[in-house]
Amino acid sequence: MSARPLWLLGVGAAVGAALASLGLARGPRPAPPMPADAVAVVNGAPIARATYAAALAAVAGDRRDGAVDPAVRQRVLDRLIEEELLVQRGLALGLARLDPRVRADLVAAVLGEVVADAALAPTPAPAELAALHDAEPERFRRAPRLTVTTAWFAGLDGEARAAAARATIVDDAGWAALRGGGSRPTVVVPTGAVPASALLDVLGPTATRAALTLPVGAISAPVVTSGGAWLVRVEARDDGGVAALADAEPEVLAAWRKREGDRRLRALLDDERRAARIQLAPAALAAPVAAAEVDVDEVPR
Amino acid sequence: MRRALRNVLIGSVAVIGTCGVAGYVIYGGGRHEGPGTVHPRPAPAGEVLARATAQATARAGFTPAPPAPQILFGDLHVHTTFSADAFMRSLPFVQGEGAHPPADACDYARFCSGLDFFALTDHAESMTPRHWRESIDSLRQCAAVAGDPRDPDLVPFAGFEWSQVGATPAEHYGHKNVIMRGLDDAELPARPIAAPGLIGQALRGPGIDRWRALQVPVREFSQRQRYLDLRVFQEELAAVPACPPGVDTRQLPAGCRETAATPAELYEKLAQWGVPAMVIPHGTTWGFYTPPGYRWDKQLAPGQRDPERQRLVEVYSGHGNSEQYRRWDEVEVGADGVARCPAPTADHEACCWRAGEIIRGRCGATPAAECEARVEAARANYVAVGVAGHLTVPGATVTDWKDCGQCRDCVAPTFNYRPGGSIQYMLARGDFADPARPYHERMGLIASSDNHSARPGTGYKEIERRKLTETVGARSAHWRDFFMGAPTAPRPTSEPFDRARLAKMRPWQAVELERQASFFLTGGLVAVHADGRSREAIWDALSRRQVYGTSGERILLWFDLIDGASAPATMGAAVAITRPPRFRVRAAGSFVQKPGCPADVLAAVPAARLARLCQGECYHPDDRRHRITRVEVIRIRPQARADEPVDGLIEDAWKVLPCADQGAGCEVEFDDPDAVAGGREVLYYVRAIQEPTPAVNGGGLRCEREGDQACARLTPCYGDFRTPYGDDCTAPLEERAWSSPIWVTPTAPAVTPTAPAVTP
Repeated sequence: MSARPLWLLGVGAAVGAALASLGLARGPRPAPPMPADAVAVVNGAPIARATYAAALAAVAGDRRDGAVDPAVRQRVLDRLIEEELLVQRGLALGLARLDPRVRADLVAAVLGEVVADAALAPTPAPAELAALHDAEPERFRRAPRLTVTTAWFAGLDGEARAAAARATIVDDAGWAALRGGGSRPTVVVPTGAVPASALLDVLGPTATRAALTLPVGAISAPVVTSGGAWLVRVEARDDGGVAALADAEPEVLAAWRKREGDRRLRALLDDERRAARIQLAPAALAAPVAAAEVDVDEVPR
Repeated sequence: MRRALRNVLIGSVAVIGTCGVAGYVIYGGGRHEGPGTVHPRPAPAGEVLARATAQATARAGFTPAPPAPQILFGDLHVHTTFSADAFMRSLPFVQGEGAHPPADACDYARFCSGLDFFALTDHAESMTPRHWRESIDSLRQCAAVAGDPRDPDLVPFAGFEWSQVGATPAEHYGHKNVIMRGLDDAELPARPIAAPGLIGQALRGPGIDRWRALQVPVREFSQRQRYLDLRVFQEELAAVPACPPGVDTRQLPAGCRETAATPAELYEKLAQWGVPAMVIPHGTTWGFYTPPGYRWDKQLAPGQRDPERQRLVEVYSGHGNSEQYRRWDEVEVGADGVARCPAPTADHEACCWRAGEIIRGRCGATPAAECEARVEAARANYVAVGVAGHLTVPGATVTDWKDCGQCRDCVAPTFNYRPGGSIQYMLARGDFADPARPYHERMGLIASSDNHSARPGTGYKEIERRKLTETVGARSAHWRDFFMGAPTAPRPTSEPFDRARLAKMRPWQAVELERQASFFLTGGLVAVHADGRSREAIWDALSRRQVYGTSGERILLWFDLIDGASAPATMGAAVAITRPPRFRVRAAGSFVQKPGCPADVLAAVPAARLARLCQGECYHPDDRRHRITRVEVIRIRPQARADEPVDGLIEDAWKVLPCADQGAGCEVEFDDPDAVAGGREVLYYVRAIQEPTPAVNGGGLRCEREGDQACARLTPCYGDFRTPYGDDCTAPLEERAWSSPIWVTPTAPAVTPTAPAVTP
């Protein structure tokens, strides 16, 4: 062995010993000042007074007398400190990167933040809402609604009596008189504007279909059901269609906020992708799938 | 030497690598099962809508009208495979169909059952924070495709099931659904509230030991994905920490599992949230988990009751009918507090008694005294372990137990009936802790499916027992033995079990899975008399108790007080009367169903999706109605003092009113001349009974009477391989609707029927 390495080793040892001595002489480094709004600092991470106060309030609210003694205060603070330690430990272990559950929750939290920000965005200008309404009218389509009146003819001869009665009606008064003089049905037909599904459970499919195909003011041919026959008159009709912007404003606003959330998320991801250094393995997209997935729904028993 | 070392090294790497690859192929790839995607097309409102598009009379003659009163149908008790038990039921080894995510529930309600509203109520005990979040998101998607929020095609509600079970009657409160009014964050709790204890352990536990869990993906290699997904589900569940106790629910961290041990704690937490919520008890007579001897009484006590939130109770579900009270009980509790086995009566044989009779049948040539001692020991052993009593008789089969524990003269009762949890008992019993202000329940009656395959409103057609009811079972003897253990051989004596031994068993071994398979029905429905179709209108109707339940058929029912009070009132109302009350009932049977699905549904949904969701069969009414044969009136006088015997206060049926229904419904009236003179509160509710039609498991255990033996022979409908997969076990059943009660009190101040705050 030559002399030079020994010489270098000696110098290194001496420098090390000197630095160690210096460290011992200086003693522990002073702690940084406590932030004004913190109740504790754990490895540099502050625990906010507001957090502590909220936890104390929760415990106090749970007690009959609302009192929180020093022991409880200490316990609550200890819990917050330990929670922070566990968070730090988890970060140090790389759980945010390695644990699929933590990753998923983290992703969901970021997505939630973006969506929440969009929900708090200022109300858009009317023109923006109008543009959305015009661009996606099908989102604001209303179901048809009908207002009908009916006359019921009970019994096996109901169809014949209904047909005879219908032939005599010449005006609104005649229809009103017919309804007043006819049998009273057991079921209660909704009197207001309702979607077809509300009539379906009461009148049955044939009478409901008749109502949907009649012009306003027209009276159906007798519709035979078990126990009798119906005559149905359409008093008013709203065939649905796309609601006007004024009628659908809350929905349009909700749709705008959702779209805004999507837009902000896309912008965030685009920014992140631009700022990130992403390397793709050659032919990554063409790599074969390791194991075929079996859709158990399709597996024959 | 170096070459040998290199070969060993290469060999080792190859072996390790091969094992790694094999391990990944077999055990890797488990994934979180998400909420699914709601079908984007607007819901059809019936086949008629497709024909309406030709009309070009937009808004002709239309003037805005107030929301019309109408009957809407829904299902407020639905599970998806976000519930651990639903996940287990969906696995291949029990002939399950695969995942049933929340989006399926929305599409089933829209396209298959054609409901107006539904709620998701997955078990809080097995929901992770992610499941809760995804479930809410899915319901929002569902609401978004339902159209105008003021007049939507479908209203989805968020909810969860608080699934409490106690090992003894003193510890048991039972299951309750919690439904929230809104879907906005401000109207929802941050997390579901679970019950600690037995069910939570069962739902969160692995179900099988590790060795078996390792074998399943190998044995079911081609279908291993769902077993691996189940493991991911269970790992996710296990990773959710318990919330710190004693902290206000609003201050808890978002990602913890919150529990409430009693109804009082549950109500307190709901009060802390302050969101509009409704609590609905259910399965109150279901002996699958309800301990023998259980009674509703302690839930009447101050603190354990919440008349503002608990305004409804589920009378019927796919698990059976909980309506009727009976005097008998599964055990007799003496003055010394000790539970004993009651002797059989004409209408009931306790299972502890039958345990003794099974052992008696094995005595052979054993001397009579010795045999009798074995019989007595068998009864005592059974009583000692409650719902797991069947384990005490080695080798006993479903047929050996005959119809013990069942309500023989009830219609479609729950399995192992507990009369102390019946609706009639709840309504009759009072709490007199404050003698000046006695408390009685005032709950409206609803029915639900309690479906575990994301299928709200399954009762519209009586088909597909394996898919549309809760029926599950191993697909072969091999799989039954693998998971449950091979059947034990009969032995001449009973075997005592203590709770410590029970605790070591896998949860599903400790309950009677196979015997109850004969009791699963297609689900019930809740109907509301609502002033419109909006979320708020439905919620208000539920709050007013203007609701009724049906056994799944869309029976139309109106039950009104037409005289006796200062104003007419309808079901759910509590009113003061000054003269004898007179009531009117109108009922119309459900429409006969046509096969298949309406044309507009077929046009709206891909065939494969319809086949998977609806089994190709939708709500598809014909013009003919089933006939209502009679209306039965039940009168209950709630207890006036604590020692008043309950059974004398329940009159079922107080009146039976025949219907002359020619197919268009039936209208009857009745009055009670004694109501005013009685000087006490009385409640009335009605049952509208429909003509018998075939129903899945309509015959229960299918007992055959012989002489004085009520169940000399029986033909159970098994959930497993023993009954053919396609056998729906149909038998005639009188489908029915139950109104909510009308409470009348002589000369007390009148209360309007529509005011929510009428509870005591």
